[in-house]
Amino acid sequence: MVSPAAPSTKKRLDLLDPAEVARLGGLELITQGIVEGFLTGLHRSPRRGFFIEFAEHRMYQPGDELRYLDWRLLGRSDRLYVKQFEEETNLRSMLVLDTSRSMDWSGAPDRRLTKLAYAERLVAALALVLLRQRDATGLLTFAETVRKVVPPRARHTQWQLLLQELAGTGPGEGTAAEPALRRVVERLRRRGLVVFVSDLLFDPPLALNALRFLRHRGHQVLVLHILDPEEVELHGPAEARYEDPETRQAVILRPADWAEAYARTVQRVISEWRVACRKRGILHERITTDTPFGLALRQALVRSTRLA
Amino acid sequence: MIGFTAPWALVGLAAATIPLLLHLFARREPPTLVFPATRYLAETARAHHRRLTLQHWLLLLVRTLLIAALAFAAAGPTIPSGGVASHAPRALALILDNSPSSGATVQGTPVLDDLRGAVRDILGAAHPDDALWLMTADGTLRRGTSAELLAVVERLPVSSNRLDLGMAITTGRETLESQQLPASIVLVSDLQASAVSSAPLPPGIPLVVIRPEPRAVPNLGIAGLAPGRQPWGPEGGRVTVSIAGDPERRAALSVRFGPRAPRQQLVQGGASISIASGPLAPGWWVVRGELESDELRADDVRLGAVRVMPPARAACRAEDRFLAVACEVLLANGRLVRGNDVSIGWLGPAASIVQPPDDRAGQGALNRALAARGIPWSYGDPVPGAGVSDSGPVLGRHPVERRLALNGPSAGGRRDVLLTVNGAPWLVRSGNVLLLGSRLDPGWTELPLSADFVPFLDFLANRAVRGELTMLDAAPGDAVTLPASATAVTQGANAQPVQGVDLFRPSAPGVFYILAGRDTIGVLAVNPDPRESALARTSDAAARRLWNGARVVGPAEGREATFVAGGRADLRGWMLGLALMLALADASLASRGRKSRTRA
Repeated sequence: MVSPAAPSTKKRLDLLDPAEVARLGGLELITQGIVEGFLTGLHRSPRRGFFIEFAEHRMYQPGDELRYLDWRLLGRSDRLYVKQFEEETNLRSMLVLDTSRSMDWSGAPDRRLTKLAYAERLVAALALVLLRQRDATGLLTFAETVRKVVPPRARHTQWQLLLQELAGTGPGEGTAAEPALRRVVERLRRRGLVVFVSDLLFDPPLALNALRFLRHRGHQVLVLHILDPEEVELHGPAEARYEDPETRQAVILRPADWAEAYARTVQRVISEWRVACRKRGILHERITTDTPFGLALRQALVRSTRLA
Repeated sequence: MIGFTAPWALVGLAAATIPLLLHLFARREPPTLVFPATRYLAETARAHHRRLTLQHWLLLLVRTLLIAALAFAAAGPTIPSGGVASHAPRALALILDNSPSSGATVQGTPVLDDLRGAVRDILGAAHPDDALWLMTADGTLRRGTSAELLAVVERLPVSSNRLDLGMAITTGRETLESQQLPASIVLVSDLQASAVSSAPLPPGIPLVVIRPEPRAVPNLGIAGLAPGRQPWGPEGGRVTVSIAGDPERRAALSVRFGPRAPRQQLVQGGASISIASGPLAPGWWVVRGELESDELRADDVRLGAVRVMPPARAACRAEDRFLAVACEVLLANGRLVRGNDVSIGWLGPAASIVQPPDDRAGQGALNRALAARGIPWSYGDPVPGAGVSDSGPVLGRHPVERRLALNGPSAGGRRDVLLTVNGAPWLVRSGNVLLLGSRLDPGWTELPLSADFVPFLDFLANRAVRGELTMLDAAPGDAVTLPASATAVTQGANAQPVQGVDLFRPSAPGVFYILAGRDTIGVLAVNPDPRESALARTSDAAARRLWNGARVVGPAEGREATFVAGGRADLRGWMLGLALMLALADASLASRGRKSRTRA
């Protein structure tokens, strides 16, 4: 396997155009490159950075990194102890990915990834970051039904397993977010992190209730709202018949006439999602598919407690 | 009032319907785009439908107005502007209608004085830089300074000439079309209805009509003085006098034959009366009809001329059947007397009306006899093909089946020709001999079968063979065609040579004698055009309709209207400015969505 470090030494993959990055290699390769670049950009050790709160000492065992030795305690007691942090092994993360038909769309197929392709790479990168800090990380994909569930694990092979599932997941048809989130509730018995990646093109009330329920169960919930730039700004020919790929609902209009009002509607919908999430203690991040993965990861993680 | 320099461009207004037509008929099935966020579009459409629909119709309106504004700009709209004192240099064609009707007196003042005052005002306000023309009823267009033209106007009398206002306007327009200055035509007239005729007016040359305030002018005039068939015999004849004017109005008419005491009669408008002359001595008699004076003097007098002489002493032959019958009719009516002074149908010893011989074998002998009489004309070969007599004062058009060529002298022969068929001589006169190209027989011509035959023979026997060819009526200024043999026209002691002149144009009423050498061959009675007697006026509205865009004002407003009409503000700039504003509004409306999107 080619090391992803090679491209990252010259270019920070996390800061490149997502479509350009996707052309560099497979999901695993480019995700490693993205994560390496992302972690380098933080200017500190990822492990040190991920350790939130000191919990206890334990005896040093061969294989432990020397930098976690408590040198002060060694000087006083002449014994080798390493520091243990509270969150280090407790966090269980569940990445929930919307694979509905609406996600499999790009406003500029030759220049931009589909929302689904973008979300897959983002989810893979998130999983790698989380697994590197030894968080048990799982995956749930859904469309009109729950499609695949990978239980949270912190094994070394977990990421490869997640990548296999992501790579084998094509687009589904409809969107049934609420049952998927209910399934997450069932899977995450302990407090953990739930990252919900979706274009949120469904009726919000049920999904919001499920998200709130997750929050009540003590989970930290992060909603990554994936949008194609063409969905934010309306473009098109002089007149067009716009058709929803899931519901087949159609609207005929002239984009030039309706662009302003449409942009306001989209901003309002995003704002409503943000407000609704904030009220429920849920983090909401809007990410467009032209956002470099590094910036998207930063958006996703900096505000979460795992990087705070 | 708004005018247009290129009104044909207003056709472009039809293009203003294009946005609406496109909206109604050019709709097509739009392409289908897969768009996941369609739910947002549907929601947007529900929320903003009314506003955007309004915006759409507003855009349609703006585009329609934009095209209309451009079409108007292309048509070159103009409106009156500027003032009298500070008017820009311009070319003015002033038409002063001093025709006979302008001599009518209204409330003690001749109409011409009012018209003259209006012209005086205009010329007084003219600048040295203005190009000025003055046209009067005599048809002459005079170029001059305001002072020069003012002098002409001040001494201008009422003319005897009728002025056709449409033709005068056309003349003015043709004169001004070559001018670089802004031009206008000013017609100062009483707008007599009978003088009004249409005239095309280009949009760049406005017409101002200045007319006196309309007032009813009662008038009686002599419209006609007809002496009937001539010559009269010594027993005299009757003249028929036609009276024009108000049927309710009555006046005394006197008719005088030469120096004799006048015969008087009470007449009213529309009447036609006959007055007998009584016995008259042979010779030319001037007949003068005169009405009592009224508001229009020009038509109160009318002149005519009568020829009095004994009927010709003529002989006809029984073998010329149709000639013999016509002669009997003339004899029975006293137009001919049996005798040998005029031989009708053959070459006699004295005056003769000669027709081709029935048998061509006699043609040589006839030609030799003509030559022996010193007649330079002879009969030639038959002319192939039928023909038609050319219409003229002597005879109308009649088919001619057979005819012989009339061969005449190469020099001066044209003056002898009285009638032609297909352009070739058919009736010629040489001395006291008339030669006909065809026999007066239905086998040669249909003339003997027509009603014109007897009067034609009367003319030949009583006048043509004597060399008295014509009795003409005309109005002053008319172009009169004189007989080819005429050498001079006399009126009293004045003699005007006319040899080689085809047209004679009398300038004043009167009786003119037409001479050929020392012989009087005709008379021309010149009287005012009878249409001048009808003083009814054209309404202002009718004048505006007839002369599209004309401004009709009274004498007091004439000066201002003249110079305001001459200076018109060009609205093209305003229209283009409006079009630009509409284009900006269109761009603003059309791009509102795009701008907002960029801000977002």
